[in-house]
Amino acid sequence: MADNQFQPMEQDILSEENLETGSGQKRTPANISPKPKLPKPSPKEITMRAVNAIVRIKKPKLITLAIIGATILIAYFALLALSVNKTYQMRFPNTNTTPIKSVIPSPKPQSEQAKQVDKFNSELENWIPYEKRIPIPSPDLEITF
Amino acid sequence: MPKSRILNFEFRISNCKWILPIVIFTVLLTLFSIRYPLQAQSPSPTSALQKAQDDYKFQLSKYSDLHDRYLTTRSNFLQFKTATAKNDAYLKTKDYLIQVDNIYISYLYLASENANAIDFDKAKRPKDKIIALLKNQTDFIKQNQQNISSATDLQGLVDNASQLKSEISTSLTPQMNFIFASMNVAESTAMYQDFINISSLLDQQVTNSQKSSILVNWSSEIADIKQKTGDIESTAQARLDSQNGNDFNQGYLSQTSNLIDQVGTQLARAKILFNEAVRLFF
Repeated sequence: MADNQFQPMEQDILSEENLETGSGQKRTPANISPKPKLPKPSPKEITMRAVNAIVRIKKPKLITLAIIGATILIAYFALLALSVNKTYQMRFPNTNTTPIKSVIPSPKPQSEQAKQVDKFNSELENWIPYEKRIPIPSPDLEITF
Repeated sequence: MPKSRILNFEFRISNCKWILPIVIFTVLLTLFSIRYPLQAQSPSPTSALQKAQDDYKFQLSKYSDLHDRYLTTRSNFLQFKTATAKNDAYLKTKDYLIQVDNIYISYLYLASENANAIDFDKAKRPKDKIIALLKNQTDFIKQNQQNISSATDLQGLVDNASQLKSEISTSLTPQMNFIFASMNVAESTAMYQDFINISSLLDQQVTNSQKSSILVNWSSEIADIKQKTGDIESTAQARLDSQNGNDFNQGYLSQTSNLIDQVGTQLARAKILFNEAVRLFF
């Protein structure tokens, strides 16, 4: 019984194949019938659909949650953008974004000797004797009753 | 839009409303996970010296609080003369004296960390003597703290306080004077070594330059500083080496400090000459 049920379909397929091979014609672009093209949705239509979908959400809880989520995302990206800007400024404090060349010549890089001299000078200037740096504590030890 | 599709969409949204809290939670988690590791990866490095300073400050703040409590209970006892007031005075005095010992322990730890920060090898000075003196003092204070803890009455505490006061004036103060002088000399010697190293480095560059008249004057000034500072350093070191630290009074400390001041004055001359050499020859 099952064989009888599928018979018409098989026949259809076979007849189609016979038609193609029997005619002996090759498939050329001219022969192939054009595929049915789906209508391309315009951006306006997509927007309208999205708006409609949002408007049709009946539950206020969902709308509130969506708004909160969107706000958080916006705030997050804004903060991220701000932090990127700050890092850039910190890393390159003297970076001049304008293409105008500075008239003032850049300072010469400090030589090793100059660095050593600077270190020596600062150590000498900041030196304090230890009796002043860490004076002996003098707590009240006059315990009388 | 067909109504069936709209209904289907509504159905889907209403079924997936648990997604939104998850999305929000994920965003928040991302936000904090970006901020948190930045703080965790860069902990402020705390040196042993900084730790010692913080501990000493903390002990001092605790001391002032306990001192106020001791004074209050003392005046109460002197006014009412009751057993309860006496017991209260005993307890608060005990706490106070233990805190006094804590101050000295943290102070000696701070002094030893300061000594550890000095380059004794560069100064060619022995460090062991200073560390041994500091350890002896710390041991005494710890022993005194145990005595205070085991004191059973107010008179025992008074005796302990008196003993501690005597020990501080006869042993701790002269030894600390000696330690201060040793550390001052070690640091000034290290600076003198730096001066010798820099001057020899600059001398090579100055010799290669063409400004011969400036060179002669610069070199003679540096040689003068070297000789004078070397003499003062030797005197200070000899004075320190002749002392054992137990009777190093305030007068000895002042004498050593004067010598170190003279070293400072000489090295300040070098500072001007070094700046000049850098300006002219580099």
